[in-house]
Amino acid sequence: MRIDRLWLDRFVGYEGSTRLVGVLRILCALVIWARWGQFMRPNDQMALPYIAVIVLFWFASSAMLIGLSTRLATATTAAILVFAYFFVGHRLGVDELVAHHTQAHTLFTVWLAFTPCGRSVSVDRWLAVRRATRTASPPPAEHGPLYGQRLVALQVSSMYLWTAYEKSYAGFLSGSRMEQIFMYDVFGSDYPDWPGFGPLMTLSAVLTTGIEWLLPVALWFGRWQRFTLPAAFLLHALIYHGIPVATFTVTMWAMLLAYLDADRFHAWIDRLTEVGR
Amino acid sequence: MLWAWMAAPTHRVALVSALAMYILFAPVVRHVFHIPMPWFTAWFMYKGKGGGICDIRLYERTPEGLIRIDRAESLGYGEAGPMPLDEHRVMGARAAVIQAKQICLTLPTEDLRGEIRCGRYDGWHERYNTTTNLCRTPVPNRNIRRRAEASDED
Repeated sequence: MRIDRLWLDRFVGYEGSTRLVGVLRILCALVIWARWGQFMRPNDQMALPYIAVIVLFWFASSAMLIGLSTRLATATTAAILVFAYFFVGHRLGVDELVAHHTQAHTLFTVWLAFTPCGRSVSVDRWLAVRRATRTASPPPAEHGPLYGQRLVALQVSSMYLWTAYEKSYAGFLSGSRMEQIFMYDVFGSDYPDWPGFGPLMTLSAVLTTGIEWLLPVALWFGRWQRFTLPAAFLLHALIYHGIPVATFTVTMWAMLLAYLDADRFHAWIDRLTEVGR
Repeated sequence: MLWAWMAAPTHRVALVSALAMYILFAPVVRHVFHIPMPWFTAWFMYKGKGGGICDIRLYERTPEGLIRIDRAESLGYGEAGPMPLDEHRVMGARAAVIQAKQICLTLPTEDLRGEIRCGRYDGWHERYNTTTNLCRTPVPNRNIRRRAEASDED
């Protein structure tokens, strides 16, 4: 297939079941609460507009989580995160808000706002089904344009691509920077005296960088996903247990689901829920 | 509404293509050209984490030769667990020499040697070897540039 047709049909024009983006929406809202909840607390030194933004954040993200007026709620949450990350974090210099975690959450929410993520697993869906039952009409299809899901997946590819670019230099690939990171977090200034620590750090540096160069492309191929998705999940699990990364691992796990085929995910849920009825 | 506007195929193609270009290529500004513009996202991911930490191996010089010193034990903690964080992980050559001088007093000894290397972005840099008596060497001046490099950028 030509590249322009691939772009128009499989990316811009991609349509399918909205169940997967519904699940992504719930995961995104929970991750946002886990990381941003600590910042979104009013105090007596705060100006009134900031308190208003915080109150709006809790309303919007709660509605996003349960899927009530979902599109508006997700867009509002995204707008607040953009304001908090770029303006309060970068422009006003509130360093706690500036981290790759918070940047990832912000962009994840923004791209989700472009999806019909309230058409499945949401209060909106429940209300629509109830309405349809009352009027004896078929419930609305769990189907819609999913270019927003593709944007989330592309965001993950971009993150892997640029972090791989940033690691591709002798100081990292030799394992020295890995040694420093592990010593900083685990061993302190005493170099571990167990044999193999140095080679293990070199191996992990090379493997991490190699996987991060591979994943941005390989994750897009459905047939390879049985290998690439577990590899990506495992990579983030190891990072989580090796160094304190807070919500980053679970954020990436959630975003990685965006590579799945929406219709196959829908069918898989059907198969799971039909068994034992 | 934006979503209604997006329903038109040409609008959708234009906007989605622009967003995809932003996602993929905005990081060029900060990663390649090193221009600090926050609207252009970047993914450094712990680039500076752990930079500045020193790998310290200390030895007491005796007539029998060099005898390896356990840092935690010689500072009176017994093992590494109860050590305060700033003593457990020593950041920078200045802090390493200050700690070595403290150990000179607590051991006590007049001749403490060390292999001390400190981490930077490009790898390890040797700061002291066993030719230097750390009990007598002067404490290095504060190096503001190196302290800045040691900061966590995540």
